[in-house]
Amino acid sequence: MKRRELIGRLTAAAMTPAVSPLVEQSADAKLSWIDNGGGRTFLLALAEVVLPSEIGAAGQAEAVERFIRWLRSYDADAEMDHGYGFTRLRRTGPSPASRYPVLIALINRQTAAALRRPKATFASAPLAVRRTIVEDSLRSVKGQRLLARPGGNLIEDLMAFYFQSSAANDLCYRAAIGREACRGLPGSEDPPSDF
Amino acid sequence: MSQRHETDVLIIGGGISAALMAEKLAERQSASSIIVVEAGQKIFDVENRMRYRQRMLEYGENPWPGDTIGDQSGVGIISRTMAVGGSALHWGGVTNRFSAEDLRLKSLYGLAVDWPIGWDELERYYCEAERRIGVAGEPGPLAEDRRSEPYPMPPMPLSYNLRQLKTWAEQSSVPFWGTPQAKNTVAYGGRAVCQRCNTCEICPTGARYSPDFTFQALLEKRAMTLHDRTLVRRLIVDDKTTRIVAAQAVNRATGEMVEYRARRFVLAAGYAWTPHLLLLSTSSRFPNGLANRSALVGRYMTGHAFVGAQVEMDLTLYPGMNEQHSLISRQFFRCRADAPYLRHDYRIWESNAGREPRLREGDGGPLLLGDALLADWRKRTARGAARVRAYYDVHPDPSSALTLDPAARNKWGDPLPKIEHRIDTASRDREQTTRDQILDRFRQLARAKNGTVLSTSIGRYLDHPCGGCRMGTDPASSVCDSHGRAHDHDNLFIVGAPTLPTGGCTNGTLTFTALTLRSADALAALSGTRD
Repeated sequence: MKRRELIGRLTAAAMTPAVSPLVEQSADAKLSWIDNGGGRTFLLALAEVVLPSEIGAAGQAEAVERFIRWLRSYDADAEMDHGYGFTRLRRTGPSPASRYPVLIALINRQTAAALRRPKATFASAPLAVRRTIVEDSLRSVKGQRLLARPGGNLIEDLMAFYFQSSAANDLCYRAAIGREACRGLPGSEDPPSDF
Repeated sequence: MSQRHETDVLIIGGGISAALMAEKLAERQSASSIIVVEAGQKIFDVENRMRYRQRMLEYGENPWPGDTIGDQSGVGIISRTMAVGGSALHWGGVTNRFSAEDLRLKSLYGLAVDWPIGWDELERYYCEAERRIGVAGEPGPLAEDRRSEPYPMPPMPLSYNLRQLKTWAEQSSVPFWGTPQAKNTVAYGGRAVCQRCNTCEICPTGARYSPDFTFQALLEKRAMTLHDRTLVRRLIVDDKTTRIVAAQAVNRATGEMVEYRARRFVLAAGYAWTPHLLLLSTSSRFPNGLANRSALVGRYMTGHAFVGAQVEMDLTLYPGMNEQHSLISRQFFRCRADAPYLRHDYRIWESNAGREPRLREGDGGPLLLGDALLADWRKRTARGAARVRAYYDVHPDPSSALTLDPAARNKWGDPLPKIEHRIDTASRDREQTTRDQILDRFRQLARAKNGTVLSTSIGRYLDHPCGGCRMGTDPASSVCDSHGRAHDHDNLFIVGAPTLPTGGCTNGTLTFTALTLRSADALAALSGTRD
């Protein structure tokens, strides 16, 4: 088995919800990796790979901060929307963030191995290396759909969080649509202003 | 019994029909007291709705927390919402009218049955329902859609996207215009103007009507009493007559048994729970349940079938401007009597379905990250797209039924409903032709601006369900008269969705409420009379 394939399989296994090895911790403890474990730096380095360069480093940093806020405000076991036509009652699962520390550690080890530098981390690696590692990690993800919202695979989660957002919709159409904003009725007959 | 309440009128159910019935009876001062009993809880916290909306958008959480009852469901129901306000808490606010043809299917086409009410009469109640709910609309161009009163509010403005789509769609020679909406385009009914938040299932500003507003206003005026979290389990008939004398219920919060005694009973619990309660209310005198001499309680369950499509065309559109609003054409509400029968509405929405950002370029294709993903997304969305859909008219078979499911019971031991829709032979025989013709119309529509039908879909259920206690003049072939008064029990009124003999070919809520308001007039007319 090639090393690259092995890395992909190991990463996929670590990202699979069913094998999450973490015991239940408090919400704060689960998220301590963000500030104390280099999580924010990791996310910024990841954002540079998976988010569009068009939003710039500042836009990527803003997306990361929004993602972190999202994780901090996540409620496990909350009622989920059922609405008209959907009769199955569901509840939110455990925070997807509970799986992230293991994955981050694994990716850092992969980076160190790839660079043959034991202290190297994903965040310190050149962009091309980070990109290769991300691609290897996502290789086993099947299907073409991006998740509707984060679900436990950190790389996919950051992508889903950003690309499913109203901000990304505006970027795609290069227009200030503001899909999730309360915009008032006046002006709705005109095209949205430029992005 | 732990609790006992007496009232002049007992309204069972807390949805839109119950709200408008209570409001009208209170205004007419035709009941000395009104109690509304609802199995679900009240969620009267409009101040929290912006937060609920945000949680729904970000996390997919229920924007109406606590609006369900875990053990109160059934096979074939379309919504789990059981709360004060009912399904109209999260409705889209679409308030289309049926057409005159719906009321004369037998006379005009030899199909199904005629309704025991004329169009002009129903039209008056449509106007009243629109006033009470607060409807914004533009009159359509078709002479057959004439109105006796203008819409209470100016129409919801067509977004830029809908204006483009209207111009495009009308190149197929079919006129389109905006759907009427129970959303405020001006301040109305003490509620604010729509802020185009794009999440009508939870309107954070209260601009979209929901029945909780009506109930709150009535409670503030002390015009009624509301007992929420109280599940009515049986109606009880007088030993010597056929009058209903009591409703037996359970307080879901405490487990206490509750009995309501009333002069008049209004069943306003919707298409599922209304026939369900009547079927549950068996006794040695009424082994098949109440109002059921005809054996038609729970029969002729109906709704409308539908066909949809995704269409792409050479237009520059901006998905997300007002996704809840749509165009409608009523041109095909009418069908010549000598032509093959086909009646349907025709709706168009802005839509981005199937063109969302993606992780791979096709199944098994290369991964898309960052700039590549954005470029792929832009390429796939360069053309405009729309969702089109037609609700088409089908008619129920008598075997289209709600029955009691012995295999599923709630925590109180009562069997739950099981709904199995079946369309009649004539509807079935023409169904393939119907679908083919509608799809052909979609293709005609798509011709302009180099349009393409990307995909089509066939509905696998009947939408806007209704029926189950159909109205009629003959007690042998109907459950209640045109006012909803049960043929078998003169102090029992069945109102709203269950009374419809056929389900039309467009959204039903306005029709349910118009019929309810007519029932309210009949009930009010009994005020002061000896029963």
